[in-house]
Formats: sequence, C-alpha cells, structure tokens
Amino acid sequence: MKVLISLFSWERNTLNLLGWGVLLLSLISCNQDPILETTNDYFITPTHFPERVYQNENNVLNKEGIALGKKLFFDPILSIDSTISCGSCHSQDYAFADNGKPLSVGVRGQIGIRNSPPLFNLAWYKNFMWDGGVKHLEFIPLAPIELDIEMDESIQNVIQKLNRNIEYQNDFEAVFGTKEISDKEFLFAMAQYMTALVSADSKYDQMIQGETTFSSEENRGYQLYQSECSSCHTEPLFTNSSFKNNGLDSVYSDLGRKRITLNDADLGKFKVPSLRNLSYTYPYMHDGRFVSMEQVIEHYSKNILDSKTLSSELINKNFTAQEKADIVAFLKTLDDESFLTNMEYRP
Amino acid sequence: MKQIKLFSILILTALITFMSSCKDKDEDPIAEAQTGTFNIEFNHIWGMGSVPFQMNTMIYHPKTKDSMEFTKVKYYISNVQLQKEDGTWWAEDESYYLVDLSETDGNILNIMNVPEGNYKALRFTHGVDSLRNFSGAQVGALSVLNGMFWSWNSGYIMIKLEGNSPQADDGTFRFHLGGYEEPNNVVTDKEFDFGSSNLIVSPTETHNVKVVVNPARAWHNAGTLTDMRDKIHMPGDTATMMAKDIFGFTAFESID
Ligand code: HEC
Ligand code: HEC
Repeated sequence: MKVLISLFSWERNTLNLLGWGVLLLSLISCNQDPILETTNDYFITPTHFPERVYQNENNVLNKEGIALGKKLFFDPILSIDSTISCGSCHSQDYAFADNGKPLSVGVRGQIGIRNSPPLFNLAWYKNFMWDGGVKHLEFIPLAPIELDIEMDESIQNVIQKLNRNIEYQNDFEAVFGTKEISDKEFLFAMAQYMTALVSADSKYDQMIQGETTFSSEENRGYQLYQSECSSCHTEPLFTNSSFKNNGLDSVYSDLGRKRITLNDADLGKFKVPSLRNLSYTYPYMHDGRFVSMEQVIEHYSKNILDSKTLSSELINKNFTAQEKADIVAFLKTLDDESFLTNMEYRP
Repeated sequence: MKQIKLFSILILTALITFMSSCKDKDEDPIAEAQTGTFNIEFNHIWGMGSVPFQMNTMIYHPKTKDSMEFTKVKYYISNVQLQKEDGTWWAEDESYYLVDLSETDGNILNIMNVPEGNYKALRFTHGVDSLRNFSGAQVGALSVLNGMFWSWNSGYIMIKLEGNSPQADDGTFRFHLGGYEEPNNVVTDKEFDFGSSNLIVSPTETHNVKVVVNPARAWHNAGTLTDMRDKIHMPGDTATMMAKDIFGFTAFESID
C-alpha cells in the first residue's frame, strides 16, 4: 500500500461507492428522507495522522466540491483586476509555495511582506498565516482576497462576480443545490480543495508504515531531529501549530504573533512551519531569508540571536559537519514527490 | 488487508446508521404550540441629557467636546432569551441579529416563533458569542458579506462606529470594535428584568420591548479623538474599554 493518500484512486472510489450504496439502501429501507448522516466518506485520513481539525458535517467532501474549489483556486476572478489567482502565489510545482520568491507579488506588481507558505495538510492545522491571524480553514480565502497587496478585492464583489457567471452558477448548483451563490458556499468549496491537499507519502511516511527503511545517514539525522527539532516541528505533521521565536532576529520589523495578540510576550514569534517538502519550498522562514536547508541548519547551529521572547529550548547547537549533513539527509526524506505530480490537484 | 478493513468499517457504519435511523422513526408528534412575535426596539440616546441620537448630523460629545457626525452605526445582538413566569428560560435557536442605523427600522429586531405566554425578563448578548467566531462560514446576519468580519484576524466586528469629525486627523473616525478572547473580550451578556411589567406573546398581538443604547458612552473613558487614535481596526485594550462602556450602559426602558 504505497499510495496511501491518492484520494482519487480506483480502489478507494469503488469502496466508497459500495459504502454509499449500503448506506443508501439502509436509509431507503426505513422510508426516511435520504439525509446522509455520515461525514468524510470521500476523504480518508492517513493512518499515521491524528484526527483532522477541520471537520464540518455541513460540508462533506465530495469529488465535485473539490473540483469546484480547485477551479476557484486557479481563477484570477478572485482578484480586483483579474490578474492574480491563489495559484499565482501557491504553485503545485513548489508544494503550493511561491516559485522560489522570498516575497510574493500581488496585484499591480506589489511586493508582499511575508513569504508565501506551502499548502498541504491544512485540515490538521488549528490556525493559519505566519501570525495565526486566521483561525478557521473556511475563513482563509478572505485574507488574501481582501488584502490590498495581494488580491485587493472585496468578498462582496467576488460573490457578485461569481453570481454573474453562468458556468459558476451551474457548478455551485451541482455541488450545493443552489444557483444563488453566497459567501458560505464559496468558502465551503474553497475549504474542500484546501482540505484535499494532503501530503503523506514521503519516504518518511513509507518508513513509518514499514514499507521502506532509512539509510544510516538518514537514521542519524532522524535521531538528531528527534532530540533537537521535534519539540516544535512535531511528527507526523512536523509542526505543533504553536508560535515560537527561533532566534532569527533580536530587533523586529515584523511583529509576528504580537500583531494579533498585541502581547509583548509574543513579539517576534511565528507559527512553526512544517518541515515537509522542504526541497520544493525554498526560500525559508517568514521572510524567505534562507535559500537552502544548509543555511537553515547553520542558523540553528551558531546564529541563534538571544532576545526576551526567544524560545528557551533554543541555544546554538554547534552541529558538526557530519551532523549537519545527517539532518539534511533526514529532512529530504520528508519530500513527497507524488504530492507535486498528483494530477487531481492540477487546474 | 487495509482495504478489507476499510470496507468492513464502511459496512459497520452503514449498519449502525441503519439501526439508529430506524429506531426513532415514529417521533412523538410535537404538540402544535401557539407562537407569536415580539420586537426588541433599540432606541439611541446621546449622552446623559437623554438627547435623541441622530445619524448624519453633527452632534457634540458632552464629555470630550468633540463634534461628531455618524454615518455608520452597526452592531451585533445574539442569543435572545425570555424568562417565563415559572422562572425557566425560552431561548431562540440561531439567534443572530445585526442592528443597522442606516436602514429604516434597522433598530428593530423581530423575534418570531416565540411560544405564547407571559414573560418577565429578557436576555441577549451584545456581540457574537465566541463559539460562532470559531465556527467557519455562516449565513444571515453572520454572513461575511455584511462587512462585519476581520479577514486578517478572524473574528466578527461586534460594533462599527464611523463618521466625520473636524477633530479627527483626516476628518473621519472609524471604530471597529470586537474581540472574543480574554483579555480583549467585548462580548457582553445582558439581562433585563421587566419589573412590574410583563411581555405578553400571543398569535394576535405584537409588543415591543424598548431598550436604550447610548453610543456616546464609547468615548466616556477612552478620551477625545485627538488624545487617542481616531481609528481602531482590531481588538485591543482601548477597543475593549470602548465597547464595554457602551454595552454596559444598555438598559431596559419599557414595553408597549
Ligand atoms: C499575492 C500572493 C498570494 C495570493 C494571491 C494568495 N496567497 Fe495565500 N499566502 C500568501 C502569503 C504571503 C501568505 C502568508 C501570509 C501571512 O502569514 O501573513 C499566505 C498564506 C496562505 C495560507 C496559510 C498557510 C499556513 O500554513 O498558515 C493559506 C492556506 C493560503 N495562503 C491560501 C490561499 C488561498 C486559498 C488563496 C486564494 C484565495 C491565496 N492563498 C492567495 C500569498 C498569497
Ligand atoms: C523552539 C521551536 C523550534 C525548534 C526547536 C526548531 N524550530 Fe525550526 N522553526 C521554528 C519556527 C518558529 C520557525 C519559523 C520562524 C520564522 O519564520 O520566523 C522555524 C522554521 C524552520 C524552517 C523553515 C521552514 C519554512 O518552510 O520556512 C526550517 C527548515 C526549520 N525550522 C528547521 C528546524 C530544524 C532542522 C530544527 C532542529 C535542528 C528546528 N527547526 C528546531 C521553531 C523551531
């Protein structure tokens, strides 16, 4: 069972069909309204992942809903001048990060203030954005749409534009049973696509499931990771969704988490990013300051800057050259090539 | 192997659904209770002198001495409840409303499908309860299309006060006050005992519970527009103080 998370694989669909069939039968046989009470049948959680954070029984994932979300994700109609789509800054070739840019470019060529993070396993996160300002998966699209330096559009206009578009009217009717598109259906469809972006088939995942083994270099790196990095970049998502200061700065041009909480104790803290797919998501950190994994390891090895909010477990690690190479070897086991090539995510 | 497991789980789920869905097939027919409607009418005053509050008119703040012309006053009311004579409470389902003073009758909430009876107290929440701020996309008053939601710092704007003032830096003031997490939680529960009066709800008559709100209270402790910022766009201590000063003042007036 290598391809655990090919959501759309033949076997899975067949099983689902059978499952739905039995379910439908049971409902019909009691003469009740065929309200489908189970949730998430289309979506199967990787067995070594915890339970999803995003669950909405009113927005059960289905193939058509995911496809509609995908269409919206790659449609520049969401921006004020129809030049920028979500996909402009989140490209599948880079695990849905920006293509190598430290800061992404919004409408009218405006340069942003933060690095565009990769998008995967979002349904397991409790908060979004580097400062955690967005607290629910369904609310995510509002932020880029309404931000002047990104899409500079209003949600009201987006909904009006969609309602003027006959193709979208039909799409929404097929998924949600209504031609009249409201913000709720729009956000639901986007949430379906974002939920479907699951990356759980890296060498690490295969190792965990006993399908492959690590080299001795990777194993040494894994052990170093477990002692030095896992308190924040926790398995299996490789983030614990907390906000930490990892010693990049001692003076802050970006307040980080404090921007949201206004609490001095949160100055310079950012959401711990996942370590999955690093080979594709360079440059790194909230402002894209490091271009290689080696530079990141160098930071943890000897460049950690002290300040009031620096995480107490972080001190310069003084890794040897061997240790640095081992950690990088391990980090590369978190690359999930199949996530980049999954045709179901393509526009 | 895994597939077989998966399949049996599906069957099992289906079976359980089958059994539980058949069990309560014959629901007790709910006795057709009589219901009625009542209104909550928000009346706005300006300052202590009980001067009526006016939109789109330059008015003078009695305490800060700022001149202010309001162009937008919008706020959330949620979780309406009524206390019956036996002391128990009736609570409305999905009870979310937006008071909007730019709209005709935008200050009157129609509360429908209320069980017939005599009621002696009213409860509601100024703002949107914290749960709904965490619950994702919503409809009606809670739709984000109402312009009462912060996209970059998700949460509802519990009250919006906007307008013009010669004392403001660029001639305009904009206070978007909200926050549902401590220490900047502005959500305020209110309870009003009707005292000697009673609210009668019946299918044939509609009464109004009048409640008075005083927007001037927002600047009671916060200071003048020149002393403090004349724009607030996120939760914080000043926002919390301003919102609590207004919400705290809101009082029951009468029933007619
Ligand atoms: C102009 C570039 C740009 C566009 C367009 C854009 N994003 Fe982003 N995205 C970013 C940046 C930059 C961040 C980080 C913002 C921050 O932390 O303040 C981000 C963050 C995110 C995150 C948070 C990920 C995490 O792990 O916290 C999600 C999810 C996301 N974007 C989805 C979308 C969706 C959906 C759209 C389209 C509606 C979109 N983005 C459009 C640049 C963009
Ligand atoms: C105290 C918590 C903590 C520990 C321990 C920690 N990190 Fe981080 N890490 C962070 C935070 C927070 C960020 C984001 C910082 C920012 O952008 O301002 C981060 C960012 C990163 C990034 C950039 C990811 C991206 O997509 O931009 C990499 C790579 C990384 N860490 C690797 C490691 C490694 C390897 C270790 C162990 C040697 C480690 N971290 C230990 C908190 C931690």
